[in-house]
Amino acid sequence: MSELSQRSRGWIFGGAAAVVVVAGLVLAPLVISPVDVPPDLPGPTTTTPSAPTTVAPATSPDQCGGRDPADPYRSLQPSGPATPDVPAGSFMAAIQANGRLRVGVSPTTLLFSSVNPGTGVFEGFDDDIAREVSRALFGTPDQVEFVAIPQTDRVAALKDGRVDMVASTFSINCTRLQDIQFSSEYFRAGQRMLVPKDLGATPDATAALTLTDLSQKAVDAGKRARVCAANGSTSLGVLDDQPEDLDVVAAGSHTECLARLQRGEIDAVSTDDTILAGMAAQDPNVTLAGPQITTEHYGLGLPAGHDDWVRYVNAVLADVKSSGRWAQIYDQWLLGPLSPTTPAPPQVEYAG
Amino acid sequence: MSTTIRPAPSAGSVLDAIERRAWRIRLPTRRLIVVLAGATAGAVIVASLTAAWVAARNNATIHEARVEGLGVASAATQFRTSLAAADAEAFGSLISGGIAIPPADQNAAGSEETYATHLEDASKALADAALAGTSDDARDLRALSAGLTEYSGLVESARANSLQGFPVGASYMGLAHQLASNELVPTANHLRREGEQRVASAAKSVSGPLGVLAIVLLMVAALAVIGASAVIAGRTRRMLHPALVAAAVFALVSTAVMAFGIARQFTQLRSAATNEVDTYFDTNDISYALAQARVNEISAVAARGSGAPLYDQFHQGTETLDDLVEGTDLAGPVKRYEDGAAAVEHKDMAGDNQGAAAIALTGDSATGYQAAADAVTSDVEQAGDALADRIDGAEAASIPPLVPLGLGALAAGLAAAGILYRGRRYR
Repeated sequence: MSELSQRSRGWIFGGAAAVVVVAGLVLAPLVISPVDVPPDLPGPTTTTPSAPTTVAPATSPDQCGGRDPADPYRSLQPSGPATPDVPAGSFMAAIQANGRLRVGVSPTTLLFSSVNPGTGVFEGFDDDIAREVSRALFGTPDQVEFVAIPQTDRVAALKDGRVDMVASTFSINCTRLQDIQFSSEYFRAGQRMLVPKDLGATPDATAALTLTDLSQKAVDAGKRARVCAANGSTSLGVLDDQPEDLDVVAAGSHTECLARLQRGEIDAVSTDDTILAGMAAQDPNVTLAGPQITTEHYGLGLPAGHDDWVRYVNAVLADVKSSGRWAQIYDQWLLGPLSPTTPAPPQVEYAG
Repeated sequence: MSTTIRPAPSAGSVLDAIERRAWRIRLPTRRLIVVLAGATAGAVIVASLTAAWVAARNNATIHEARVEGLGVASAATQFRTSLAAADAEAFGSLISGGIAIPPADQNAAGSEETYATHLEDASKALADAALAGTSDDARDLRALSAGLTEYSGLVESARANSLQGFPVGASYMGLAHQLASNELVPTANHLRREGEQRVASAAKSVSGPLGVLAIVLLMVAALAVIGASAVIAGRTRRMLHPALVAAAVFALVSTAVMAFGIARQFTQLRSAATNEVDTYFDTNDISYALAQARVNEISAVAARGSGAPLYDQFHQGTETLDDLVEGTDLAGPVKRYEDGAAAVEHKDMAGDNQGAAAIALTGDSATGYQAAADAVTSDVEQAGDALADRIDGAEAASIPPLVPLGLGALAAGLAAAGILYRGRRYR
């Protein structure tokens, strides 16, 4: 009986073991082959424009590249007539040896410096001033290699030696003079606003609008006025210093501000009127408005430590102004878009 | 025939042993037979119903994984790839001033036509994603749809302004590129990842506790049939009835069908979620990286002399691209494009920006990029076909719920009939 009982138990246990083995074989792959659920990814990223920075005003020549902080626009005395006959070992001789004058310019500032899409040639007031320097150095205006540089890169391009000169609506100020040199002033501008033409009741009313008016209109509409300027420009700091409660928008470039104005993302663009005039020329629905809230003195940016080069360029600028060439260039690009008459070139004094 | 309980025999064969054990059940034989018939049939029916429900649920899960998982993931990937390719074409207008660039090869389409084709592909992919997506995807899909419209509007503004010589055109192109890179591509990536997660979750779900429960219940049912057969044989001292044997076979077959079906579903889904999908995504990643390299190259030329940092970005991008194509048939075409781009950079850095632009738009760089893009597109299409086949395979592995249900009904009926037949002489 016990033998039989053991046998029957064997059958039962054997059967149960077989079932367990079969079940194990079937289910094991499912258990030991886990599928990794991929982790979630972050959603879209948004970029925040950098906040405008305000630089404390310089109080001593040490903080102004050796110039008087009260009048940093006085450059070095010109070095006589600027001709291709330059002293050996000078910075000008090095440029001549290089075969071309490398000039940093803006590719997007219509009227001052932009690329003609049909020809690929840089055109504008600043470009022609640079060509005059080339004419003096090489006897021809065409020995210029224009290098497009963003506003934020102008000082660095000179410090790194990527360019010999910057001609790019470049305001002379003490902060920049700590790193580079400037030529004498060759153009005078001022910061204004660009707004939609229909912002005021009439075109004249729109043209007369001030930042205060713009801010008040926005407050009446229950919001803050959104005013755009380019990152790295002095305009951004100026806007930040205004007493009005503005929503200052920093864009990658001036023209990006125009695009944002056209798309209704901002209420106004504020920068030098020279740049704004170029924007107005691209869009018949916008116009310059308000008085100048700053005075900007444009100089050609030059690398530090090369006084001979500064004096040479100043000599070229003096020739350009006195010969009437300055007025010719002005008339070609700016007469009409910027002013109805040709102004006199800025009068300059030299430091020594 | 007596229906009283009697003591089990003391010795004998296996049947004797079974009989002894069967008689230990303290129920009258007639009643025992009725109880066994009901319990066995009930166990088989419960197991079959559970298996049918699990099969139906798995089929639905696989269908969802196919449509809402793989469908969404592949459509989102296609969207991203097409958008990047469109962006690369549109960027050409930055250095051509918005003027339509003639094709380097006379038989090829011009840049505007190519751009339109890529944009249309992106739009179609978005429509596919919308058809396949769930309510969870609605937000992403709305963002992509609105973003694509905005993107094309910005590119058109860029073209229109650039054609008139207005520098603001470049800013519009920059805004379009920012929109594509910072918002649309990350959103498409998020959508793709959502789809991948659904496929992986489906594979887990198919082989999860419910599938195991169904198989265990079917095994229990099969054991119940076998056990009932043994008890009946013991109480009646008659060997197995053919109906009971058939019932046990059907119960075991049902168990096997479910077990191997679930295993196959899991394997197919897992393969779809890894091998083919990975290949498809990898080829799309190559296409995306190639388009991004082209954007960086064009941007560098468009910087007109200040493109050094962008050329650095280009080189970083091509390092990734080289890693992706290493050992594949795409390595050659990609290398030829990179050689063309190197000539562009060399000329640009030497101060001849216009010469560099010419090579980039119509020279070796342009033809090299087009050839590489065509080769990658071909690979993407092949990978897409392979993925579609795998998805079909996963769906073909579905178990019709009627199979376990039918087998279960047969097993339950036969088991009950067999048991009751054996007990017909007991009153």
